[in-house]
Amino acid sequence: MNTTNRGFAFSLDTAFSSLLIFAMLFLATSHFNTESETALKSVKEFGLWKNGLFVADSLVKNRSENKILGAASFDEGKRRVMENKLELIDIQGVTGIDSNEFFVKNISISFKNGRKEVVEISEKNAESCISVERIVTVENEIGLLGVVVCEM
Amino acid sequence: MHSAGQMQLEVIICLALLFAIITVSLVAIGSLKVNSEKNGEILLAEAKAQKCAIVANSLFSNGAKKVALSENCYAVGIGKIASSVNESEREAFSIAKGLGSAQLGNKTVLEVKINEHYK
Repeated sequence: MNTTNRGFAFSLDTAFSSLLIFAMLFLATSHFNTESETALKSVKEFGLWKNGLFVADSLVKNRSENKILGAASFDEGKRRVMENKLELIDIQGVTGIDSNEFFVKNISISFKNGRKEVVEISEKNAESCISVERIVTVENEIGLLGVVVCEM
Repeated sequence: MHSAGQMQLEVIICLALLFAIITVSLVAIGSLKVNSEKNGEILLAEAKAQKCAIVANSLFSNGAKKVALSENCYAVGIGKIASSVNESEREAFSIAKGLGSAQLGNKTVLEVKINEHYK
């Protein structure tokens, strides 16, 4: 260790080493805090995917007053809900979903002949959106249903 | 050669510095441990709430009858399922309607009302 004529306590080495130790401790604590926040953010993003997937699933499998969660056709003869079979009028009647975590931006149906029907549900802008697609039958035509959900 | 008085001053300063470094290190590690545990509990509560919400969503749309989960989940308000680990509570959104509680033996469990496909 380098020393001055006043002794090693007044050397730059000691001061420099102490600074390094404090800096390393600070970096370590910052790193661990960032890791935890990143993990929580990942779980939140997974939550958006989960919500989008199940909204689309419910839309094509259920029948309810709130069409966003149930727009499947109902067969009066069989007295049952026809999964994956939709009517365009029901899709056009879809409204938003009551949640403070996410919202449904739009629903679209694309047909093989190139025709596309888009129902805009919300005009809000969002940075984080995902799209979920399902194959459905709309008025006896096969179509690709797309549901776009965005983070609040 | 240094005088005796100056040597003692240097030793005192060095010892003080050493103790300060050890103290700060211990406080930092202790704080890190507490924060890590807290964050771990929050993460676990969030994961459990999401897991329960996924099961509730599946039950709602797919007409299954009953599923028992070991997770401690409960309904909080309309369309929200929560889980708590120690004192950390996290919520997850669920599309299932009519969320409530039911008794299963001596446990209180989350109840999901099925969306009937046959009417």
